[in-house]
Amino acid sequence: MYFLSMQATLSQLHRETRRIIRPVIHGGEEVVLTDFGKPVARIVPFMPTVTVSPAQARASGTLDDDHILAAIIEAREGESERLVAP
Amino acid sequence: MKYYDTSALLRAWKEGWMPLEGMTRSHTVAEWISIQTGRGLVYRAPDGQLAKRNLSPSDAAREAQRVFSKLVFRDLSGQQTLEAAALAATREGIRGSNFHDFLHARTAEAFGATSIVTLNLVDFRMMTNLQLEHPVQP
Repeated sequence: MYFLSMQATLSQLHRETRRIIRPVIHGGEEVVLTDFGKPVARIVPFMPTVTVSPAQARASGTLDDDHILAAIIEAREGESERLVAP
Repeated sequence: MKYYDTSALLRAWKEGWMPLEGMTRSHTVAEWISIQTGRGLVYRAPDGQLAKRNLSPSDAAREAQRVFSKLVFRDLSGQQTLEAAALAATREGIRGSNFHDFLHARTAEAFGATSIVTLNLVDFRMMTNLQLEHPVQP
């Protein structure tokens, strides 16, 4: 399984829920929640990314155009939205 | 000569073909590798279940070598990129991640592409007068 790990404070989760949760749901990422600088919880995706061979990936099913475009947008936005705990 | 964007080259890879000629930006390789080795792609199994799959860096590098092998790389200079940013600021709806697509369009125009091959017909229609094509095996 493949996880990228981000951190967010409880305040950030409250203020920016969509921005923090979206990479978990659509990007296969993991978010560690912190409170007063200490990790207190972890949000993990229900659909984790699994590393496979190219042949296995192609055989995994069909690839919708929308899913390709979403992956591109999320990859681009992920670079600029990556969270760093204060 | 056709210009291929990242979406077209991900589609080509999934369907097992590669462009026999054409052009793209060097940054297309970065996006292609970033997606294939990072977030991965979401596949729909015959039973409707979605599964997210990515590739190891070595597999992705090998696959990229094959998919991009016949393409010529054309890149805007730093100054041309800044000029593209200024132009984008005068256009409606070109912001955020869309700017990457605008750079695809500007590169295609600057280097005389005859068309842009992409899955993103809607956004590119706002950015260029070049002909747009859905990716199909040559």
